[in-house]
Amino acid sequence: MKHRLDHPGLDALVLPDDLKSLDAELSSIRYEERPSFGPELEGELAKAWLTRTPAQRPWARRLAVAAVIALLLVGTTVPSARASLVRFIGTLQTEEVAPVEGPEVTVPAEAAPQPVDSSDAIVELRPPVIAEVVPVEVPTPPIEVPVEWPAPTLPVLVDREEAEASIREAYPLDLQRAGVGGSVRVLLWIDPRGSVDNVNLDEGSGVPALDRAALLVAPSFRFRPASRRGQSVGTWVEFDVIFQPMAQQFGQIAGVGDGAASDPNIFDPSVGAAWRGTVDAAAPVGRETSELLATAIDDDEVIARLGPVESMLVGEPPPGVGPTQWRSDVSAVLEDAMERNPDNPAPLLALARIRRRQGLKGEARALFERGLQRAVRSDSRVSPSLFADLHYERGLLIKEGWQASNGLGRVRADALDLAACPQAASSGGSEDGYASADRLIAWNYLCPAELDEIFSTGFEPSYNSGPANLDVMTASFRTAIAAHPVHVGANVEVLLALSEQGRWEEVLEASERFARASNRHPYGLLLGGLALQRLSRPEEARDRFTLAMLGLPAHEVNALKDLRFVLDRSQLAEYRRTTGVQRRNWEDRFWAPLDPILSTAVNERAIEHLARAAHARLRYGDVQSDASEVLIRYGEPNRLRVVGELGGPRTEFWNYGTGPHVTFTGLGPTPATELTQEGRAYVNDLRDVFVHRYGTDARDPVPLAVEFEAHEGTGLQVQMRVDVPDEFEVEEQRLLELGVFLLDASGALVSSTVIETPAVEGPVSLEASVSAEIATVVVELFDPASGRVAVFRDAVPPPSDGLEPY
Amino acid sequence: MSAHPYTRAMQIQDNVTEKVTRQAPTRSRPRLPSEFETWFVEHQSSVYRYVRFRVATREAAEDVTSDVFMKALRSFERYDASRASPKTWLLRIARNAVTDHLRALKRRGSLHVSLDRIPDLVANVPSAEERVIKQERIQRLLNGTQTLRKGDQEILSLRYGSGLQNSEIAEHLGVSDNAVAVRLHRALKRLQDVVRDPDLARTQDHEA
Repeated sequence: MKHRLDHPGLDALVLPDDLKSLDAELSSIRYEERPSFGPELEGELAKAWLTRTPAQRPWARRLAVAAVIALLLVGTTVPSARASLVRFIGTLQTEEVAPVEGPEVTVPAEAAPQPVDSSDAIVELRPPVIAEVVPVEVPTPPIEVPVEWPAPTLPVLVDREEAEASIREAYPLDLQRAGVGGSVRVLLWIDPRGSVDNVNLDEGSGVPALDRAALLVAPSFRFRPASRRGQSVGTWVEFDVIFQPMAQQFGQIAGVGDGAASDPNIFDPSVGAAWRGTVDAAAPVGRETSELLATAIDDDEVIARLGPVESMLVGEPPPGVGPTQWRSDVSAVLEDAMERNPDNPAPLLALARIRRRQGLKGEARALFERGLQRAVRSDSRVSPSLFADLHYERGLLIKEGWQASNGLGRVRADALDLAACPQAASSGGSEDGYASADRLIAWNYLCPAELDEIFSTGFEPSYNSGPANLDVMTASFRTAIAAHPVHVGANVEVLLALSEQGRWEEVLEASERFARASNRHPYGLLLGGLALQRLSRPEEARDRFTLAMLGLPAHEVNALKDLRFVLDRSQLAEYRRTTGVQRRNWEDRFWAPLDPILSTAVNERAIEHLARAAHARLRYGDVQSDASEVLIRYGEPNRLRVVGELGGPRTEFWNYGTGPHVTFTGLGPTPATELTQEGRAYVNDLRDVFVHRYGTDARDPVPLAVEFEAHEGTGLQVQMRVDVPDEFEVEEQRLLELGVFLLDASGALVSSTVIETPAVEGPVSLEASVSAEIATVVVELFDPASGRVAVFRDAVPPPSDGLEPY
Repeated sequence: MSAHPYTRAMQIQDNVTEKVTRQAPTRSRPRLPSEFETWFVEHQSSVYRYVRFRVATREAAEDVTSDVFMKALRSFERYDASRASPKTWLLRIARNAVTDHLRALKRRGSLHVSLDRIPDLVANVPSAEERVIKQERIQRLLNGTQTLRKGDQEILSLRYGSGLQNSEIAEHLGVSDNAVAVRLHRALKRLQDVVRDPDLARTQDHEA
C-alpha cells in the first residue's frame, strides 16, 4: 500500500520560496505501509471485539439488568414466586453473588467470518534455494463457522518462458555485451483480470538502465489472478526481474581484453622484465581525473589553499594538515563544484571518498552512484579509469555492508542449557532468550566441542542480505573491468570472490588473463600462485610466486616470506635477531627439514606458506593483521560462524575441528578482523600448542612401513611391499601416489618411480632397479586430497651374496 | 575447506521461481461492529501515516497504530459525534499514544532515526541511487523534526503525515484556520533552521 499525499487545501498557505521547497519536499515523502498490516490489524481488532470480557460489553450489562428487573417483577406479582424471591434475597445477604455471565455469542450465517482479503498477500518470485512458504499468523476465531469457501489463491505467472523471453528482449544490448547484470525487485499490482496494473520499483539493481528496463518489461507479464471466495481479486506481488549476461560467467570477466597473442613466456620468471609499476589496489589518481576535478573547481586560489587536486581526489589531506577541518573545507568546495558542473563526475568521486573516510557510507554510495550517472551522461569526456573507479568503489561499499551482515545469527540460550560446561557457568548471561556473545566466547575457549554441537542445534540465522546486494556488487566489479580491463582492485575482487568459492581452475584462468593484460601485475600472479598451489601444482606455484615477488616492493616480499607466525617461542627469538641475507638463509634452513616430499623439486610447505600469506595479504589488506596471522598459521577454518545482530558488533568463531578455536569479537561494520586483548592473549598462548597447521596434518609425516626383498639381476632388483598406514582414509575411489626415489651419496636424485594406487587397506608392491651409485632409498606415500604424506627413508646396503631380505 | 560466508551466498543460483511469503490461509474471520469497521477502513491509513511521521520505525508505527485502534474499539460506544468527527477523535487518541510511546522511548535512549530504519519512507523517485539520496535527506528532516517543540511536531505530522487540510487541522487542534497557517509557517521555519544548523537543535531540545 503506497500513499502519496495531496494537500488540496494547503496552497492557500503563502510561504516564502525557501519554505515552499521544504513544504514540497515534506509533501513528497511517500509512505510504504506494509500491505498486510491493515488486514492483520483488522483481524486482531475483530478478535479482540469477540473475546472481550463482559465488563467491556455494555449491551451485556444492559441485558443482565433487564433480566433482573424482569425477575423482580415476576417475583413480586406471582405469589409462588414471591416466596422464592424472599428466600433468594435471604441468600444474597449471606452469600456472594455469582457474576452474571454474558449470553453465548452466536454469529448468524450471513455475518460469518470472512476470508482474509488475499490482497494482503505478497507473492515473491525468488531463487529456489530460498523458497519457503511462510503463512501469516491469523487469529483463529473462537467459533465454528458452518460456511466454507474455497481457499484463496495467489497469482501465478501464466507463461514463464514468455516472461523470460520478454526480460531477455528488454535487457539493454550494450549492458549485455559489457557483462553487466543484476536483479531488480519490482512490486506489481495484479488486477482481477491477471494484468499488471501498477509497477513500483522496490529494490534497484544499482544500474539505472536495468531498473528502467525492469519497469518497462513488467507490465507485459501475464498472471492468473488471485482469488478469494471463488472471485478474482487484485493483489500485490513482489517479482525479481533478473538480468543475467548470457555468455559471460563471473569468472570469465577478469582481465578481459587481454591480447591472445601475448608473450608466450609471460609466466616464466627467467624471461622478460618484472612488473615495474605501483601495486596498490586503489588505482593511482589518473591525470584525466585530476584535470576534470580542477576544471570543476575552477579556482586556483582554492586549490592552492587546500592542497593539490590529487589530495582532494583521494580524500586525504596533504602532509601536516589536520584531516577534520581539511575534509570539511574540501567538502564545501566539492559540493559547490558539483552544483556548478552537473555533468562532471570528478567532484562526486572526490566527495564520496571523503564521505567514506568520514564513515558516512550510505552517503558515499549515493555519491558514487550519482557520479556514475554523470559519467554515463558524458561518457565521451570521462576516462575509462574514472568510470571503473566509480564502479569499483561503489562495489566495495556494497561488499563491506554485505560482509558485515551476511551469515549473522544468534544462538538460543536454551541450547546452552542442555549442554554442560561447568567452567563457563558464570560467564555472561542471556539476552531475549539468546546467548550473549560473552557467554559463547567463554564456551568457545573452555568447551569448544560442546559449543560446536550447540551451534549445530541452537544457531538461528538472524539476517540474510540475500543475493540481491551481491548481484549489484558483482555488476559493479564486472562493469569496472569491462570499462578498464586492467583495473587492479576490481580484478582482485573478482579473483578473491572466486577463491572464496574454491573455484581454483577459474581463478587460475582469470588471474592469467589479468596478468597478461596488465603485463605481470603482481597481484594477478599471487592469486595465480595460490590457485596453482590449491590445484596441487606446487612447482608452477613456486614460479608464479617468484615472478610476483620480482615485481613487489621489498617490504611486501619480506611480509609474504615472514615466518614469525609459524615459529615457536625459541625459534621466534632467534628469527628476530636476523636481518637481510642472514634472514633469508634462516628461512631456507627452517623449511629444509620440513619438506614433506623430499624427492620433489619444491618444498610444498614453504609454497603453502606463501599461498596463505598471499591470500591473507589480498583478503585482509595486510599480512600483519590479526586475521592474517590466524589464516597463515592455521589455514582456512573448517567452519566459520558469525554471531550478532544487524548493525551491532559481530563475533566470528573460527573453528579448526580438533583445535584451535579462535574468536574475533566486537567486530564493526568494516572488513577489519582484529583480536581483542583477550583473544590476542589466547592466540599467543596457542603458539605452545599449535605452532601451525599445514593441510590437516601435524608437522611430521607419518612413518611408512616398507618390506624389501632384493634379487640379483642385471643390477640389484628390489621388491617392496608398502602398507598403507591407518592414518590414511581408506576409500577405493581415492588414489594415492606411491613414489620410490633413489638418491646418490650426495643426496641428488638419480631415478624415481611414481605410481597411483587406490586408497585401500593392505600392502602395495612395486619394484626398483638399484645401481651401485645409489646410497639412499626414499619411499613416499602421498594423499593429494588431504596433503598427508607418509615417508620411509633409509640407506641401501651393499649387495651381498646372500640376498637376505632387506 | 570451510564455507566462508562469502561463499554461501555466492553459490545461490540465479534461477527464477515463485515464492509465497505470505498466504491468506484462513477461510473465515470475525467481524467488527459495522460502524467501527467503516471508521477503520476510512481512517486507518491516515492514523498510520500520522504515527509513522512521528516515530522512528515502521514497526513502532504499526505497534502504536494497533494501540490506537484497540483503545478506540474499547471506547467507541462512548464516542460522541457532537464533539468531534471520527477522524479527529481517532487522531486525538493517536496523539496521546504517540506521546506515550515517545516518552517511553526517551526513558530508554535516543530518538534519532538511522538511515537503515527508514526504508519505507521514500520520495517517488525512479532509481535506486536517487532513492538512497532521498532517504538520507528524509532522515535529516525526520531527525530535525524530532528536535522541534511538541506543538510543531504535532502540526507537521498532521499536515505531512496524515495529509490533513488546514480546516481539518484546525478542527483537530480547536483553533482557527488562520492560526493553523501561521503555526505551520513557523514550524516549517524552525525545521528549516534546525536542518541547516544541527547545533540549533540541541539548543531547542534543551529549551524544550
